[in-house]
Amino acid sequence: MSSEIDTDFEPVIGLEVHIQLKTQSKMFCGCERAYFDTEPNSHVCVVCMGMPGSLPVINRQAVVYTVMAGLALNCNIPSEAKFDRKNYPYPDLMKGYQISQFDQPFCEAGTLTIQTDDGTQRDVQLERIHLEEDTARLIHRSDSEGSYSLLDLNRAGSPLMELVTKPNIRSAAEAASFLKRLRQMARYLDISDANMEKGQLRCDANISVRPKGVSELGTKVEIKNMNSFRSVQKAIDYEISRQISRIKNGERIIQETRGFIDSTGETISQRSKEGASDYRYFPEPDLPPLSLTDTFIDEVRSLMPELPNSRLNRFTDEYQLTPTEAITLTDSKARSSAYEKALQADETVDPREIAKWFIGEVAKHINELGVDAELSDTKVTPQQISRLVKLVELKEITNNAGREVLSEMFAGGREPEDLVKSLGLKQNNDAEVLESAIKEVLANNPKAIADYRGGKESAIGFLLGQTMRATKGTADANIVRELLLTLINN
Amino acid sequence: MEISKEDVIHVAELARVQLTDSEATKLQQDLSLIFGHFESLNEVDTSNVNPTLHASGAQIVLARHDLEESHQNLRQDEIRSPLSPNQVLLNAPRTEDGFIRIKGVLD
Repeated sequence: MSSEIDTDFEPVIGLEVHIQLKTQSKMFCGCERAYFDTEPNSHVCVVCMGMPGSLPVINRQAVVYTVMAGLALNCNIPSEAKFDRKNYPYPDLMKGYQISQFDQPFCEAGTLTIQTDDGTQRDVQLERIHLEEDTARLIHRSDSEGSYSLLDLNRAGSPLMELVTKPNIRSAAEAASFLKRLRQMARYLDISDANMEKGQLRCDANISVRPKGVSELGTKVEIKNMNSFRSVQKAIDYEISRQISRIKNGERIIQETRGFIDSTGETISQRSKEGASDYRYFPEPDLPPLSLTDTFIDEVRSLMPELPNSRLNRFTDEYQLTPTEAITLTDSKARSSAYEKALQADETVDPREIAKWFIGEVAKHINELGVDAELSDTKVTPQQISRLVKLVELKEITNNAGREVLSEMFAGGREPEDLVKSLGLKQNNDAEVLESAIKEVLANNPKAIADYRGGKESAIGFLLGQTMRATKGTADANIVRELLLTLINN
Repeated sequence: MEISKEDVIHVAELARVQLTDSEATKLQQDLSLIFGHFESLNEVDTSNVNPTLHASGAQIVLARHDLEESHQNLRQDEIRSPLSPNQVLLNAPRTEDGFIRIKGVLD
Protein backbone atom coordinates (compact mmCIF):
# COMPACT_ATOMS: atom_id res chain seq x y z
CA MET A 1 0.00 0.00 0.00
CA SER A 2 1.39 3.40 -0.90
CA SER A 3 2.36 5.78 1.86
CA GLU A 4 0.81 8.65 -0.06
CA ILE A 5 -1.97 10.08 2.05
CA ASP A 6 -5.20 11.15 0.38
CA THR A 7 -5.50 14.91 0.79
CA ASP A 8 -9.31 14.79 1.15
CA PHE A 9 -8.82 13.12 4.53
CA GLU A 10 -7.11 14.18 7.72
CA PRO A 11 -5.48 11.59 9.99
CA VAL A 12 -5.94 12.06 13.75
CA ILE A 13 -3.27 10.33 15.82
CA GLY A 14 -2.71 10.04 19.55
CA LEU A 15 0.19 8.18 21.12
CA GLU A 16 0.55 6.21 24.33
CA VAL A 17 4.20 5.86 25.20
CA HIS A 18 5.69 3.73 27.95
CA ILE A 19 9.17 4.59 29.20
CA GLN A 20 11.13 2.35 31.58
CA LEU A 21 12.71 4.42 34.32
CA LYS A 22 16.39 3.90 35.08
CA THR A 23 16.12 3.45 38.84
CA GLN A 24 18.37 1.05 40.75
CA SER A 25 15.51 -0.87 42.35
CA LYS A 26 11.96 -1.72 41.30
CA MET A 27 8.87 0.45 41.74
CA PHE A 28 7.45 -1.07 44.92
CA CYS A 29 10.25 -3.32 46.25
CA GLY A 30 14.03 -3.42 46.61
CA CYS A 31 14.74 -5.96 43.86
CA GLU A 32 17.28 -4.86 41.28
CA ARG A 33 15.46 -3.27 38.34
CA ALA A 34 17.86 -4.05 35.47
CA TYR A 35 16.85 -7.33 33.85
CA PHE A 36 18.66 -7.31 30.52
CA ASP A 37 20.85 -10.43 30.22
CA THR A 38 19.90 -11.76 33.68
CA GLU A 39 19.06 -15.31 34.72
CA PRO A 40 15.25 -15.77 34.75
CA ASN A 41 13.56 -15.11 38.10
CA SER A 42 16.77 -13.88 39.74
CA HIS A 43 15.48 -10.38 40.66
CA VAL A 44 12.32 -11.37 42.46
CA CYS A 45 10.87 -11.05 45.97
CA VAL A 46 7.52 -11.60 47.68
CA VAL A 47 6.30 -8.11 46.69
CA CYS A 48 6.92 -8.36 42.93
CA MET A 49 5.68 -11.98 43.05
CA GLY A 50 2.40 -10.71 44.46
CA MET A 51 2.54 -13.03 47.50
CA PRO A 52 -0.42 -12.65 49.85
CA GLY A 53 0.37 -10.38 52.77
CA SER A 54 3.22 -8.53 51.05
CA LEU A 55 2.91 -4.76 50.75
CA PRO A 56 4.20 -2.28 48.16
CA VAL A 57 6.54 0.57 49.19
CA ILE A 58 6.94 3.48 46.76
CA ASN A 59 10.39 4.09 45.27
CA ARG A 60 10.92 7.83 45.82
CA GLN A 61 13.34 8.10 42.89
CA ALA A 62 10.71 6.85 40.41
CA VAL A 63 8.39 9.66 41.55
CA VAL A 64 11.26 12.16 41.22
CA TYR A 65 11.97 10.98 37.63
CA THR A 66 8.30 11.18 36.64
CA VAL A 67 7.87 14.68 38.06
CA MET A 68 11.15 15.66 36.37
CA ALA A 69 9.79 14.48 33.02
CA GLY A 70 6.61 16.45 33.72
CA LEU A 71 8.55 19.63 34.46
CA ALA A 72 10.68 19.20 31.32
CA LEU A 73 7.50 18.75 29.23
CA ASN A 74 5.70 21.78 30.70
CA CYS A 75 3.11 19.73 32.61
CA ASN A 76 1.13 20.85 35.61
CA ILE A 77 2.27 19.02 38.71
CA PRO A 78 -0.79 18.70 40.95
CA SER A 79 -0.34 19.03 44.70
CA GLU A 80 -2.01 15.65 45.27
CA ALA A 81 -1.68 12.35 43.46
CA LYS A 82 -2.57 8.73 44.16
CA PHE A 83 -2.12 5.21 42.88
CA ASP A 84 -5.02 3.04 41.73
CA ARG A 85 -5.61 -0.61 40.98
CA LYS A 86 -6.22 -1.58 37.39
CA ASN A 87 -7.79 -5.02 37.39
CA TYR A 88 -7.32 -7.55 34.62
CA PRO A 89 -6.36 -11.21 34.69
CA TYR A 90 -3.32 -12.11 32.63
CA PRO A 91 -0.39 -14.38 33.52
CA ASP A 92 2.18 -11.55 33.21
CA LEU A 93 0.46 -9.74 36.07
CA MET A 94 1.24 -11.42 39.35
CA LYS A 95 -1.43 -9.91 41.56
CA GLY A 96 -4.28 -9.96 39.06
CA TYR A 97 -4.06 -6.17 39.01
CA GLN A 98 -1.52 -3.54 38.09
CA ILE A 99 -0.74 -0.62 40.39
CA SER A 100 -1.21 2.38 38.12
CA GLN A 101 -2.69 5.86 38.32
CA PHE A 102 -6.22 6.64 37.16
CA ASP A 103 -7.66 10.07 37.88
CA GLN A 104 -4.85 11.71 39.88
CA PRO A 105 -1.60 11.22 37.94
CA PHE A 106 1.68 12.98 38.79
CA CYS A 107 1.63 15.16 35.67
CA GLU A 108 -1.23 16.75 33.74
CA ALA A 109 -1.33 18.43 30.31
CA GLY A 110 2.06 19.55 28.96
CA THR A 111 3.66 20.00 25.52
CA LEU A 112 6.52 18.66 23.43
CA THR A 113 7.82 20.54 20.39
CA ILE A 114 8.15 18.44 17.26
CA GLN A 115 9.29 18.98 13.70
CA THR A 116 6.34 18.93 11.28
CA ASP A 117 6.40 17.57 7.73
CA ASP A 118 7.12 21.01 6.23
CA GLY A 119 10.11 21.50 8.54
CA THR A 120 8.48 23.93 10.96
CA GLN A 121 8.21 23.37 14.72
CA ARG A 122 4.90 22.68 16.44
CA ASP A 123 3.81 21.81 19.98
CA VAL A 124 2.06 18.47 20.54
CA GLN A 125 -0.29 18.68 23.54
CA LEU A 126 -0.02 16.04 26.22
CA GLU A 127 -2.92 14.61 28.17
CA ARG A 128 -0.97 13.32 31.15
CA ILE A 129 2.04 11.37 32.46
CA HIS A 130 1.56 8.72 35.11
CA LEU A 131 3.58 6.09 36.89
CA GLU A 132 2.86 2.37 37.06
CA GLU A 133 4.55 -1.02 37.32
CA ASP A 134 5.82 -3.10 34.43
CA THR A 135 4.62 -6.68 33.84
CA ALA A 136 6.50 -9.98 33.81
CA ARG A 137 8.07 -11.26 30.60
CA LEU A 138 6.38 -14.12 28.74
CA ILE A 139 8.18 -16.42 26.33
CA HIS A 140 6.18 -18.69 24.06
CA ARG A 141 7.33 -22.20 23.22
CA SER A 142 5.83 -25.47 22.11
CA ASP A 143 6.64 -29.16 22.52
CA SER A 144 4.85 -32.48 22.09
CA GLU A 145 2.16 -31.31 24.55
CA GLY A 146 1.42 -28.29 22.39
CA SER A 147 2.14 -24.62 22.90
CA TYR A 148 2.93 -23.21 26.33
CA SER A 149 4.39 -20.11 27.93
CA LEU A 150 7.31 -19.40 30.23
CA LEU A 151 7.25 -16.70 32.85
CA ASP A 152 10.22 -14.58 33.98
CA LEU A 153 9.38 -12.14 36.79
CA ASN A 154 12.57 -10.04 36.63
CA ARG A 155 10.78 -7.23 34.80
CA ALA A 156 7.63 -7.49 36.94
CA GLY A 157 7.22 -4.43 39.15
CA SER A 158 9.79 -2.23 37.39
CA PRO A 159 8.84 1.45 37.26
CA LEU A 160 7.13 2.37 34.02
CA MET A 161 6.15 5.91 33.09
CA GLU A 162 3.22 6.26 30.70
CA LEU A 163 2.76 9.37 28.64
CA VAL A 164 -0.47 9.99 26.71
CA THR A 165 -0.76 12.67 24.04
CA LYS A 166 -3.91 14.46 22.95
CA PRO A 167 -5.01 13.31 19.49
CA ASN A 168 -3.25 16.15 17.73
CA ILE A 169 -0.57 14.39 15.72
CA ARG A 170 -1.33 14.54 12.01
CA SER A 171 1.07 12.18 10.23
CA ALA A 172 3.38 9.20 10.65
CA ALA A 173 6.40 11.47 10.29
CA GLU A 174 5.10 13.73 13.07
CA ALA A 175 4.63 10.68 15.31
CA ALA A 176 8.22 9.61 14.62
CA SER A 177 9.47 13.13 15.35
CA PHE A 178 7.52 13.12 18.62
CA LEU A 179 9.12 9.85 19.71
CA LYS A 180 12.61 11.01 18.77
CA ARG A 181 12.22 14.25 20.73
CA LEU A 182 10.81 12.30 23.66
CA ARG A 183 13.75 9.89 23.59
CA GLN A 184 16.12 12.85 23.43
CA MET A 185 14.44 14.40 26.48
CA ALA A 186 14.55 11.12 28.45
CA ARG A 187 18.25 10.76 27.70
CA TYR A 188 19.06 14.37 28.59
CA LEU A 189 17.23 13.94 31.90
CA ASP A 190 18.99 10.57 32.28
CA ILE A 191 15.77 8.99 33.51
CA SER A 192 15.80 6.22 30.86
CA ASP A 193 17.99 4.90 28.05
CA ALA A 194 14.75 4.94 26.02
CA ASN A 195 15.97 2.35 23.52
CA MET A 196 12.98 1.12 21.47
CA GLU A 197 14.67 -2.09 20.33
CA LYS A 198 15.28 -3.01 23.98
CA GLY A 199 11.68 -2.22 24.97
CA GLN A 200 12.72 0.72 27.15
CA LEU A 201 10.48 2.95 25.06
CA ARG A 202 7.26 1.37 23.78
CA CYS A 203 4.59 3.03 21.73
CA ASP A 204 0.94 2.34 20.88
CA ALA A 205 -0.95 4.59 18.48
CA ASN A 206 -4.64 5.48 18.29
CA ILE A 207 -5.49 6.34 14.72
CA SER A 208 -8.61 7.59 12.99
CA VAL A 209 -9.25 9.54 9.82
CA ARG A 210 -11.93 12.09 8.97
CA PRO A 211 -12.82 14.12 5.90
CA LYS A 212 -10.97 17.45 5.80
CA GLY A 213 -12.92 20.21 7.49
CA VAL A 214 -15.02 17.87 9.63
CA SER A 215 -14.53 18.33 13.37
CA GLU A 216 -16.15 15.09 14.51
CA LEU A 217 -13.64 12.28 15.09
CA GLY A 218 -13.75 9.04 13.11
CA THR A 219 -13.74 5.57 14.71
CA LYS A 220 -10.32 4.95 16.19
CA VAL A 221 -8.15 1.89 15.86
CA GLU A 222 -5.37 1.06 18.29
CA ILE A 223 -2.07 -0.13 16.79
CA LYS A 224 0.37 -2.16 18.86
CA ASN A 225 3.66 -3.96 18.39
CA MET A 226 5.79 -1.22 16.85
CA ASN A 227 9.37 -1.81 17.98
CA SER A 228 11.38 0.84 16.16
CA PHE A 229 10.97 4.39 14.87
CA ARG A 230 10.84 2.96 11.37
CA SER A 231 8.04 0.51 12.21
CA VAL A 232 6.03 3.26 13.94
CA GLN A 233 6.17 5.27 10.76
CA LYS A 234 5.37 2.29 8.51
CA ALA A 235 2.51 1.07 10.72
CA ILE A 236 0.82 4.46 10.94
CA ASP A 237 1.16 5.12 7.21
CA TYR A 238 -0.30 1.70 6.45
CA GLU A 239 -3.20 2.16 8.87
CA ILE A 240 -4.12 5.61 7.54
CA SER A 241 -4.22 4.29 3.96
CA ARG A 242 -6.22 1.24 5.05
CA GLN A 243 -8.85 3.35 6.80
CA ILE A 244 -9.16 5.83 3.93
CA SER A 245 -9.62 3.12 1.33
CA ARG A 246 -12.23 1.38 3.50
CA ILE A 247 -14.20 4.61 3.84
CA LYS A 248 -13.93 5.28 0.12
CA ASN A 249 -15.30 1.79 -0.56
CA GLY A 250 -18.25 2.57 1.68
CA GLU A 251 -17.04 0.22 4.42
CA ARG A 252 -17.20 0.84 8.13
CA ILE A 253 -14.13 1.24 10.38
CA ILE A 254 -14.34 -1.22 13.26
CA GLN A 255 -13.05 -0.07 16.64
CA GLU A 256 -10.40 -2.68 17.41
CA THR A 257 -6.79 -3.34 18.28
CA ARG A 258 -4.49 -4.20 15.40
CA GLY A 259 -0.94 -5.52 15.56
CA PHE A 260 1.82 -4.36 13.23
CA ILE A 261 3.63 -7.13 11.35
CA ASP A 262 7.12 -5.88 10.56
CA SER A 263 7.88 -8.40 7.80
CA THR A 264 4.82 -7.49 5.69
CA GLY A 265 4.43 -3.86 6.76
CA GLU A 266 0.72 -4.48 7.47
CA THR A 267 -1.52 -4.21 10.51
CA ILE A 268 -3.76 -7.16 11.30
CA SER A 269 -6.74 -7.43 13.59
CA GLN A 270 -6.01 -8.91 17.01
CA ARG A 271 -8.89 -10.85 18.49
CA SER A 272 -10.45 -8.41 20.93
CA LYS A 273 -10.38 -9.48 24.56
CA GLU A 274 -13.86 -10.40 25.64
CA GLY A 275 -15.60 -7.85 27.82
CA ALA A 276 -13.31 -5.21 26.27
CA SER A 277 -11.64 -2.97 28.81
CA ASP A 278 -13.43 -3.11 32.10
CA TYR A 279 -10.55 -2.43 34.46
CA ARG A 280 -12.64 -1.52 37.52
CA TYR A 281 -10.10 1.03 38.77
CA PHE A 282 -10.24 1.91 42.43
CA PRO A 283 -7.85 3.72 44.80
CA GLU A 284 -4.97 1.42 45.82
CA PRO A 285 -5.78 0.44 49.42
CA ASP A 286 -2.15 -0.56 50.13
CA LEU A 287 -0.80 2.93 49.38
CA PRO A 288 -1.94 6.20 50.92
CA PRO A 289 -2.38 9.19 48.59
CA LEU A 290 0.63 11.46 48.08
CA SER A 291 1.03 15.15 48.74
CA LEU A 292 3.57 16.83 46.43
CA THR A 293 4.71 19.95 48.24
CA ASP A 294 6.30 22.97 46.56
CA THR A 295 9.60 22.18 48.29
CA PHE A 296 9.53 18.74 46.65
CA ILE A 297 8.80 20.13 43.20
CA ASP A 298 11.51 22.80 43.67
CA GLU A 299 14.01 20.14 44.66
CA VAL A 300 13.19 18.06 41.56
CA ARG A 301 13.57 21.19 39.42
CA SER A 302 16.98 21.87 40.96
CA LEU A 303 18.11 18.34 40.04
CA MET A 304 17.28 18.82 36.35
CA PRO A 305 20.23 18.97 33.97
CA GLU A 306 20.47 21.35 31.02
CA LEU A 307 17.75 20.55 28.45
CA PRO A 308 18.33 20.19 24.69
CA ASN A 309 16.92 23.59 23.77
CA SER A 310 18.96 25.61 26.21
CA ARG A 311 22.11 23.70 25.27
CA LEU A 312 21.36 24.44 21.62
CA ASN A 313 21.02 28.16 22.34
CA ARG A 314 24.19 28.16 24.39
CA PHE A 315 26.12 26.50 21.56
CA THR A 316 25.09 29.19 19.07
CA ASP A 317 25.74 32.02 21.56
CA GLU A 318 28.93 30.87 23.26
CA TYR A 319 30.65 29.00 20.46
CA GLN A 320 29.22 30.90 17.47
CA LEU A 321 27.97 27.69 15.86
CA THR A 322 25.37 27.90 13.10
CA PRO A 323 21.88 26.70 14.13
CA THR A 324 22.32 23.61 11.94
CA GLU A 325 25.64 22.77 13.57
CA ALA A 326 24.18 23.31 17.05
CA ILE A 327 21.10 21.15 16.29
CA THR A 328 23.27 18.33 14.95
CA LEU A 329 25.59 18.39 17.95
CA THR A 330 22.88 18.67 20.63
CA ASP A 331 20.70 15.97 19.05
CA SER A 332 22.44 13.54 21.37
CA LYS A 333 23.40 14.47 24.91
CA ALA A 334 26.47 12.24 24.79
CA ARG A 335 27.69 13.81 21.55
CA SER A 336 27.24 17.38 22.78
CA SER A 337 28.95 16.52 26.07
CA ALA A 338 31.90 14.93 24.24
CA TYR A 339 32.14 18.09 22.11
CA GLU A 340 32.31 20.28 25.21
CA LYS A 341 34.95 18.02 26.76
CA ALA A 342 37.05 18.53 23.63
CA LEU A 343 36.62 22.31 23.98
CA GLN A 344 37.64 22.23 27.64
CA ALA A 345 40.76 20.20 26.83
CA ASP A 346 42.35 23.21 25.11
CA GLU A 347 40.54 26.52 25.04
CA THR A 348 42.87 27.95 22.39
CA VAL A 349 41.36 25.70 19.70
CA ASP A 350 38.52 27.27 17.71
CA PRO A 351 35.15 25.78 18.86
CA ARG A 352 33.82 26.07 15.31
CA GLU A 353 36.70 24.01 13.91
CA ILE A 354 36.16 21.32 16.55
CA ALA A 355 32.43 21.38 15.72
CA LYS A 356 33.16 20.82 12.02
CA TRP A 357 35.32 17.79 12.83
CA PHE A 358 32.71 16.36 15.24
CA ILE A 359 29.88 16.74 12.72
CA GLY A 360 31.93 15.58 9.73
CA GLU A 361 34.78 13.13 10.05
CA VAL A 362 34.27 12.07 13.67
CA ALA A 363 30.54 11.35 13.12
CA LYS A 364 31.40 9.35 10.00
CA HIS A 365 33.62 6.99 11.98
CA ILE A 366 31.14 6.68 14.89
CA ASN A 367 28.19 5.98 12.56
CA GLU A 368 30.03 2.97 11.19
CA LEU A 369 29.43 1.32 14.57
CA GLY A 370 25.64 1.74 14.39
CA VAL A 371 22.93 4.38 14.60
CA ASP A 372 23.07 4.80 18.36
CA ALA A 373 26.87 4.69 18.73
CA GLU A 374 28.72 7.45 20.57
CA LEU A 375 32.36 8.52 20.84
CA SER A 376 32.58 6.71 24.16
CA ASP A 377 32.04 3.44 22.26
CA THR A 378 35.33 4.01 20.41
CA LYS A 379 39.01 4.12 21.38
CA VAL A 380 39.17 7.89 20.74
CA THR A 381 38.78 10.50 23.49
CA PRO A 382 37.47 14.09 23.15
CA GLN A 383 40.90 15.32 24.31
CA GLN A 384 42.62 13.52 21.43
CA ILE A 385 40.24 15.10 18.94
CA SER A 386 41.02 18.52 20.36
CA ARG A 387 44.75 17.86 19.90
CA LEU A 388 44.24 16.66 16.34
CA VAL A 389 42.24 19.76 15.39
CA LYS A 390 44.96 21.89 16.96
CA LEU A 391 47.60 20.22 14.78
CA VAL A 392 45.53 21.14 11.72
CA GLU A 393 44.87 24.63 13.00
CA LEU A 394 48.58 25.24 13.58
CA LYS A 395 49.24 23.88 10.08
CA GLU A 396 51.41 21.15 11.51
CA ILE A 397 49.44 18.83 9.24
CA THR A 398 47.07 19.42 6.34
CA ASN A 399 43.34 18.78 6.47
CA ASN A 400 43.78 15.64 4.40
CA ALA A 401 46.52 14.37 6.66
CA GLY A 402 44.26 15.14 9.63
CA ARG A 403 41.58 12.87 8.16
CA GLU A 404 44.12 10.11 7.71
CA VAL A 405 45.39 10.48 11.28
CA LEU A 406 41.80 10.39 12.59
CA SER A 407 41.10 7.14 10.71
CA GLU A 408 44.17 5.61 12.34
CA MET A 409 43.09 6.93 15.75
CA PHE A 410 39.71 5.19 15.39
CA ALA A 411 41.39 2.04 14.11
CA GLY A 412 44.09 1.70 16.72
CA GLY A 413 43.53 4.23 19.49
CA ARG A 414 46.98 5.79 19.12
CA GLU A 415 47.86 9.40 19.94
CA PRO A 416 47.52 11.93 17.08
CA GLU A 417 51.10 13.25 17.54
CA ASP A 418 52.58 9.74 17.35
CA LEU A 419 50.60 8.98 14.22
CA VAL A 420 51.73 12.18 12.49
CA LYS A 421 55.31 11.13 13.17
CA SER A 422 55.04 7.46 12.24
CA LEU A 423 52.99 8.16 9.11
CA GLY A 424 55.37 10.97 8.10
CA LEU A 425 52.50 13.42 7.70
CA LYS A 426 54.02 16.54 9.18
CA GLN A 427 53.20 19.40 6.84
CA ASN A 428 56.18 20.37 4.74
CA ASN A 429 55.94 23.38 2.48
CA ASP A 430 59.66 23.78 2.12
CA ALA A 431 60.07 25.34 -1.35
CA GLU A 432 63.11 23.26 -2.27
CA VAL A 433 61.45 19.95 -1.38
CA LEU A 434 58.26 20.91 -3.22
CA GLU A 435 60.14 22.13 -6.28
CA SER A 436 62.05 18.93 -6.68
CA ALA A 437 58.86 16.90 -6.24
CA ILE A 438 57.04 18.98 -8.84
CA LYS A 439 59.94 18.79 -11.29
CA GLU A 440 59.86 15.04 -11.03
CA VAL A 441 56.11 14.93 -11.64
CA LEU A 442 56.48 17.24 -14.65
CA ALA A 443 59.28 15.13 -16.08
CA ASN A 444 57.11 12.01 -15.84
CA ASN A 445 54.00 13.61 -17.36
CA PRO A 446 54.90 15.47 -20.53
CA LYS A 447 51.46 14.74 -22.01
CA ALA A 448 49.62 16.51 -19.20
CA ILE A 449 51.87 19.55 -19.66
CA ALA A 450 51.12 19.56 -23.36
CA ASP A 451 47.38 19.24 -22.64
CA TYR A 452 47.53 22.18 -20.25
CA ARG A 453 49.48 24.33 -22.65
CA GLY A 454 46.99 23.33 -25.35
CA GLY A 455 44.21 24.90 -23.22
CA LYS A 456 43.00 21.91 -21.18
CA GLU A 457 42.75 23.55 -17.75
CA SER A 458 41.82 20.29 -15.98
CA ALA A 459 45.28 18.87 -16.65
CA ILE A 460 46.57 21.03 -13.82
CA GLY A 461 44.35 19.17 -11.40
CA PHE A 462 45.92 15.89 -12.45
CA LEU A 463 49.44 17.26 -11.96
CA LEU A 464 48.44 18.70 -8.58
CA GLY A 465 47.11 15.32 -7.50
CA GLN A 466 50.32 13.59 -8.58
CA THR A 467 52.40 16.07 -6.56
CA MET A 468 50.21 15.71 -3.50
CA ARG A 469 50.60 11.95 -3.73
CA ALA A 470 54.36 12.25 -4.16
CA THR A 471 54.53 14.41 -1.00
CA LYS A 472 52.12 12.06 0.84
CA GLY A 473 49.63 14.87 1.44
CA THR A 474 52.02 16.78 3.67
CA ALA A 475 52.03 19.85 1.45
CA ASP A 476 49.48 22.64 1.38
CA ALA A 477 47.52 22.25 -1.86
CA ASN A 478 47.33 25.99 -2.49
CA ILE A 479 51.08 26.42 -2.22
CA VAL A 480 51.69 23.43 -4.50
CA ARG A 481 49.25 24.78 -7.06
CA GLU A 482 50.95 28.17 -7.19
CA LEU A 483 54.40 26.65 -7.47
CA LEU A 484 53.19 24.24 -10.13
CA LEU A 485 51.77 27.04 -12.28
CA THR A 486 54.97 29.06 -11.94
CA LEU A 487 57.10 26.12 -13.03
CA ILE A 488 54.92 25.19 -16.03
CA ASN A 489 54.54 28.73 -17.26
CA ASN A 490 58.27 29.34 -17.18
CA MET B 1 -31.09 -3.33 43.84
CA GLU B 2 -31.62 -5.77 40.99
CA ILE B 3 -28.49 -7.40 39.55
CA SER B 4 -29.19 -8.88 36.13
CA LYS B 5 -28.00 -12.26 34.98
CA GLU B 6 -25.94 -10.49 32.31
CA ASP B 7 -24.14 -8.57 35.09
CA VAL B 8 -23.28 -11.85 36.79
CA ILE B 9 -21.99 -13.44 33.59
CA HIS B 10 -19.95 -10.30 32.77
CA VAL B 11 -18.28 -10.24 36.20
CA ALA B 12 -17.62 -13.97 35.99
CA GLU B 13 -15.91 -13.52 32.64
CA LEU B 14 -13.75 -10.69 34.00
CA ALA B 15 -12.69 -12.98 36.87
CA ARG B 16 -12.19 -15.92 34.46
CA VAL B 17 -14.72 -17.98 36.45
CA GLN B 18 -16.94 -20.45 34.61
CA LEU B 19 -20.53 -20.64 35.89
CA THR B 20 -23.31 -23.09 35.15
CA ASP B 21 -26.71 -21.61 34.40
CA SER B 22 -28.09 -22.57 37.81
CA GLU B 23 -25.04 -21.07 39.56
CA ALA B 24 -25.53 -17.84 37.66
CA THR B 25 -29.18 -17.73 38.69
CA LYS B 26 -28.33 -18.35 42.33
CA LEU B 27 -25.58 -15.69 42.29
CA GLN B 28 -27.95 -13.25 40.67
CA GLN B 29 -30.30 -13.62 43.64
CA ASP B 30 -27.48 -13.53 46.23
CA LEU B 31 -25.79 -10.48 44.72
CA SER B 32 -29.10 -8.64 44.42
CA LEU B 33 -29.62 -9.16 48.16
CA ILE B 34 -26.08 -8.05 49.01
CA PHE B 35 -26.26 -4.93 46.85
CA GLY B 36 -29.69 -4.20 48.30
CA HIS B 37 -28.20 -4.38 51.76
CA PHE B 38 -25.47 -1.87 50.92
CA GLU B 39 -27.98 0.42 49.27
CA SER B 40 -29.11 1.47 52.70
CA LEU B 41 -25.82 3.45 52.85
CA ASN B 42 -27.32 5.82 50.29
CA GLU B 43 -29.62 7.11 53.00
CA VAL B 44 -26.66 8.74 54.81
CA ASP B 45 -26.29 12.44 54.00
CA THR B 46 -22.69 12.88 52.75
CA SER B 47 -23.10 16.33 51.22
CA ASN B 48 -20.66 17.82 53.76
CA VAL B 49 -18.10 15.00 53.65
CA ASN B 50 -14.99 15.03 51.44
CA PRO B 51 -14.42 11.93 49.29
CA THR B 52 -12.28 9.38 51.13
CA LEU B 53 -9.33 8.10 49.09
CA HIS B 54 -7.83 5.87 51.72
CA ALA B 55 -9.28 4.18 54.74
CA SER B 56 -6.49 5.17 57.13
CA GLY B 57 -6.60 8.86 56.29
CA ALA B 58 -2.81 8.73 56.06
CA GLN B 59 -0.89 10.67 53.43
CA ILE B 60 2.66 10.42 52.10
CA VAL B 61 4.08 13.94 52.16
CA LEU B 62 6.85 14.49 49.65
CA ALA B 63 9.04 17.45 50.60
CA ARG B 64 12.74 18.14 50.13
CA HIS B 65 14.49 14.84 50.85
CA ASP B 66 16.20 16.19 53.99
CA LEU B 67 12.89 17.55 55.31
CA GLU B 68 10.84 14.46 54.69
CA GLU B 69 9.75 12.39 57.61
CA SER B 70 10.18 8.70 57.04
CA HIS B 71 7.05 6.94 55.94
CA GLN B 72 6.48 3.22 55.86
CA ASN B 73 5.15 3.49 52.30
CA LEU B 74 8.11 5.44 50.88
CA ARG B 75 11.68 4.31 50.39
CA GLN B 76 15.01 5.36 48.94
CA ASP B 77 16.11 3.76 45.68
CA GLU B 78 18.27 0.99 47.12
CA ILE B 79 18.70 -2.60 46.02
CA ARG B 80 17.84 -5.36 48.50
CA SER B 81 18.78 -8.98 47.96
CA PRO B 82 16.10 -11.00 46.18
CA LEU B 83 14.77 -14.45 46.95
CA SER B 84 16.89 -17.29 45.62
CA PRO B 85 15.60 -18.65 42.29
CA ASN B 86 14.77 -21.89 44.15
CA GLN B 87 12.53 -20.02 46.57
CA VAL B 88 10.88 -18.14 43.70
CA LEU B 89 10.01 -21.40 41.94
CA LEU B 90 8.97 -23.25 45.10
CA ASN B 91 5.22 -22.84 44.52
CA ALA B 92 5.34 -23.20 40.76
CA PRO B 93 3.50 -26.36 39.64
CA ARG B 94 5.91 -26.69 36.71
CA THR B 95 9.22 -25.07 35.78
CA GLU B 96 11.60 -25.13 32.82
CA ASP B 97 15.12 -23.63 32.53
CA GLY B 98 14.49 -21.42 35.56
CA PHE B 99 11.17 -20.14 34.20
CA ILE B 100 7.70 -20.86 35.51
CA ARG B 101 5.94 -22.98 32.92
CA ILE B 102 2.28 -22.15 32.33
CA LYS B 103 -0.44 -22.92 29.83
CA GLY B 104 0.01 -21.24 26.44
CA VAL B 105 -1.38 -17.72 26.35
CA LEU B 106 -0.66 -17.10 22.68
CA ASP B 107 -3.21 -18.37 20.15
